Amino acid sequence: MEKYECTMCEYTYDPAKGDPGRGIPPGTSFDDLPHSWTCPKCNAGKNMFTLVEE
Amino acid sequence: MNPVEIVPGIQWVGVLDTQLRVFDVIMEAKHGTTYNSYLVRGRDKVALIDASKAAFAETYLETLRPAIDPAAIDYMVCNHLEPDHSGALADVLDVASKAQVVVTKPGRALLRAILNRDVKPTIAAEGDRIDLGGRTLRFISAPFLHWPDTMFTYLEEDQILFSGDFLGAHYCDPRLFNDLIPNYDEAFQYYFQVIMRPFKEYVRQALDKIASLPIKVVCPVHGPVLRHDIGRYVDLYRQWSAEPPASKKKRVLVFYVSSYGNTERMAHAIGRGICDAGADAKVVDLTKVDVRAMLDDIEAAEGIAVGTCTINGDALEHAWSLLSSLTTIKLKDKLGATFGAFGWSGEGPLMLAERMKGLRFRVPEEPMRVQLVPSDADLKACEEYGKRLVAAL
Repeated sequence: MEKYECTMCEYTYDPAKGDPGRGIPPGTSFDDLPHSWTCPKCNAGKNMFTLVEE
Repeated sequence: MNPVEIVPGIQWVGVLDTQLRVFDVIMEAKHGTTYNSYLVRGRDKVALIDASKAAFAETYLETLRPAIDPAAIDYMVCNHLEPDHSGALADVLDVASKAQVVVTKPGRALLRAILNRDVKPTIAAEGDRIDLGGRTLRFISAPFLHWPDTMFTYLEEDQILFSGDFLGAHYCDPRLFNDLIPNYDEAFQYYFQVIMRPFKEYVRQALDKIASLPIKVVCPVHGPVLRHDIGRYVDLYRQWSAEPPASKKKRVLVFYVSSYGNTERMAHAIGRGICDAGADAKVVDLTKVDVRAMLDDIEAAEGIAVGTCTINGDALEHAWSLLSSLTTIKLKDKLGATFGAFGWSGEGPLMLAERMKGLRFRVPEEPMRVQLVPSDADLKACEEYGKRLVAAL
């Protein structure tokens, strides 16, 4: 699954890890994150993330 | 104002905002402020570092023009893109036709949203350099001081640090240099408290980064240029950004606002429960304190509980006011809880709990609510509630 990077603080969302601290289990794709999900580091919204080209 | 020489070849070309008394709607600026911009000339190239606010674009260009024909500027360096320094950027770029904008990677997205035009900036990463010919700009990443895209620009040969908002102050004095103006420590400290305080860990990181740099002059974007006793200002930042010393006992502050004493009795019962569970509790009547004076206490506490009665379907203003006063301290993962007595509906504590979650408090317990006068059993339940809060710390 594809990783996404926060354009503000460069935090990378890795679907393999999810965001367990806020109830997002490993294996959750970026698209499947709720709209209310925000960057764990800087709180930027989902729309501030861009796809990481591997 | 006319350009002011910092050292030969480097000029201040900023704007004095003498009339400003409130900055960004919410902050005091008793002494006005300045929007500092700096022109750096190398043998081959010229860089402009930070611009000004949109409302002052014309004044800014009037100051800049006697120093240089804007068309001759090669680089427009934006240490961060907050509108008080980037608002005039579009006007600058209109006349500085060959200027290459230099921002950090996060700055690129902000730049697009500020200019609403297609600009391809040069991205400055940590340690990147631009050679102006005998003068070298080195970029130092300094995220969240206080915007995500922040960097410092260090002029290696002259040992000058262009520090953005870091080490700045809202203080307007045309004499410009800190050794020429009266002591402005109060404004310097206030600025730290409202701008840098939410980002203490980043302040400490930046202080560590610049610790090994020889610095002869600090050129911030607001207030005086520091060329005397720089270490004192750096030490103050070091002191203010230190974490509060860990207390032996964990601590929960219990705030309340109560119209008939029922929420107050709940507050004291919750406080007893907290103490019984081995933590410290401080119970505070919100009608009797200035919350702004308690920010250090709140920051140092492991948790806060907020109690309110419900009037006409809402929590009381004092409780909202408390939660609106916390923007300058780090709340993430601090324990939050709400409680209150009510007549027949009792939405107040529920609304506060949602607000606390929005502020990124951890809110593990449902709000504790009691209809009208707490019974002995209710007070016992409040004590148990206090104990559960301690268990969740």
